[in-house]
Amino acid sequence: MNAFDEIQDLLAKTAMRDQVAFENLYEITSPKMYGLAMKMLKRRDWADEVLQEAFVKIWYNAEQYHHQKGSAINWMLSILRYRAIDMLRAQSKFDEAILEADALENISVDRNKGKAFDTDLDECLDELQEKQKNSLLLAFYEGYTHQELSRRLSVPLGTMKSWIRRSLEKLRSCLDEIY
Amino acid sequence: MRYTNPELIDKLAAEYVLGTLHGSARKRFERLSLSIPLIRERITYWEENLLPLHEEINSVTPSNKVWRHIKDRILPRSNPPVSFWGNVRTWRSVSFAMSLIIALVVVNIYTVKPVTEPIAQYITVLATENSQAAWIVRMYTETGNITVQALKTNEPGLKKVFELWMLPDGGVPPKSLGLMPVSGEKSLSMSVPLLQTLFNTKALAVSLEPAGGSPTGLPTGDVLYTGKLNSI
Repeated sequence: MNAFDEIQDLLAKTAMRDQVAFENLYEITSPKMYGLAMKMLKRRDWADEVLQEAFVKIWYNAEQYHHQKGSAINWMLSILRYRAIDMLRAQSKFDEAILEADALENISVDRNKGKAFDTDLDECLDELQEKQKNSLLLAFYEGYTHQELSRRLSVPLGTMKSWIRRSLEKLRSCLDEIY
Repeated sequence: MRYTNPELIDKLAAEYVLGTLHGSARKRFERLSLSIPLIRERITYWEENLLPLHEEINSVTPSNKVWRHIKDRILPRSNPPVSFWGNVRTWRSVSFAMSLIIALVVVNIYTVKPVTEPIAQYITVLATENSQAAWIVRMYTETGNITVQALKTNEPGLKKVFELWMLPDGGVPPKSLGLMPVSGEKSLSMSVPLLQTLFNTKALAVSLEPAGGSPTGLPTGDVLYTGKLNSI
């Protein structure tokens, strides 16, 4: 059984209130989930809280997952990600949590470091203009709003909104062509 | 805004998953996703396509206390607190059947919540006129959080949703607390003004509303479920 199938299997057992399966699911997936929470929130206490809430939600809602909704791990990561976004929005101290000054460069480096091959997503992202691609990645990895992105990248708010909108449109066309 | 326009739905779903859809628009879109399948479908499309970006995120092992807290919140404790029976006695005005349901809920509260976590200050079982229980609502005045747990699948019907209301005393109009889950558990939250209203409220109600919730800010459909607030 590969890792994806194993996570799906454990999630299905969790839906049946199998506590051992849930604990195994936590063992296997929590490092990835916590890595994402730390990446987005930068603070261990916030990341702890979001991880805790995400897994409590997964326990109570596991039966709502079915494979048509995509892979089990993506379903779990989405739960955590939306909770992290809610927390970033709720904390008026957003600026305290934001990335270090060279985050933009880091993201570009991260995306290309140690990759054995490009995914379809990478291929499509590479079709975007550099600034638009970076705006999209900053929004995704750091949970930035349009306003925060426009401030961060020193472009007018309207321009930023249209960058994001067009980038997503191009991404969709490109992904749809591939599939 | 027309939520039947597939292109618009796709754009909103993309920005929802990316995180740039925010504020009330995000909340509204999230609510609508519960009742409009195309929204769920497009959200899944974008999740599946964007979430691979996370593959490059470094794994970080969380501290053991996170798992302990999770376990405390979901697994039963062995020794329920002694105060439990005292609380049940205060509910004798409720019919026997409802008392039984509430007692089970209280056992649940005291057994699944750890000592260190906030305990719900108010609890309501929302039921039909015939005492058919549909949801349990727990309200936490310390944090303003509300948890709503469906006791069964409560289908509102096509393009309809169930909306939760506070029914304040003294002729104050009902206040919306959000949309109810069809099944499973959902968290809602109360703003400070809503919390203040809660202290002047003795009952909650659920009405049937069009998709997205009441367009007027007041119940527009039939009130199908009600429940008396019990402080614990």
